[in-house]
Amino acid sequence: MTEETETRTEGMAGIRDVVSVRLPAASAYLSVLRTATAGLAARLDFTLDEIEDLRIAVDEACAMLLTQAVPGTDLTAEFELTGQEMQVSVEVSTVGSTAPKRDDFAWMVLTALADEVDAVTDSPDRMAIVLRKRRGAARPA
Amino acid sequence: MDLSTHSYPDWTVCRVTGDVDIFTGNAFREQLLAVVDRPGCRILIDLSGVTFMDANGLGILVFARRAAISGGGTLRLLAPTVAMRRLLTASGLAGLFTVSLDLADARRAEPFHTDEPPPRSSRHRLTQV
Repeated sequence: MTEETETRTEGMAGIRDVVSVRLPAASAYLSVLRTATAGLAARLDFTLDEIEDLRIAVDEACAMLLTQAVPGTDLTAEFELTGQEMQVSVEVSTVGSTAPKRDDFAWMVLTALADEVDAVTDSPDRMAIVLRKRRGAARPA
Repeated sequence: MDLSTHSYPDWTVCRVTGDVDIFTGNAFREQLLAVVDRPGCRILIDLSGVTFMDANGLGILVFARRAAISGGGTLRLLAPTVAMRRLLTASGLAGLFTVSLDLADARRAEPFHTDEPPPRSSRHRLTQV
């Protein structure tokens, strides 16, 4: 048995490590968000494979949201970095949102790459997908 | 995303470079399906220059493979990158595709046996019309 060590929840100098990115809700900007995702994941010492998983997962989540986003509005992404985990919350403005189809191929890929995925559709004018990925977590083959 | 095609007597190599996402997916679909449209086509999709691919892009590869096979042809993947390998594994489709490291590897695995002239002859036929 090893002693439980307290999980680090604060970054350097006691600052909460949260990064927000706001982009036009348009597919042309997804590559920018993927680059940001990879850069932030590298800060947490994720492995190359884990960084790729996150890049694909964030992209799939955004691709789903963009099909429902109101043209001309923004997509916001909030990355929260703790010691072992990254939580990414992506959100768009919608007009009456419908939950992603759970049997969809893209949803299957998304859930296979992230440790946890939730779709937040409780508001009619916003839709969000929250995903979490832990460092060094075992992934189903 | 860029797709360039190089035809050898035995294989047509389609080299994909850059990002295949929802922004570039339609161009990828159109260009790739134009290549697999020929009956008996032997396609190698070189993925060594792919910097990103999403599930939609992978779906297009699955569709292209089916189109090639239904036309009596074949389709293999060449040298997938880390990003591609993660996508193939996560989607559970890794086992669907045959993968070669390079052209020589594909030639060894699936040699071209036919008495007919290579596909190049179709071009002569066009010029005779």
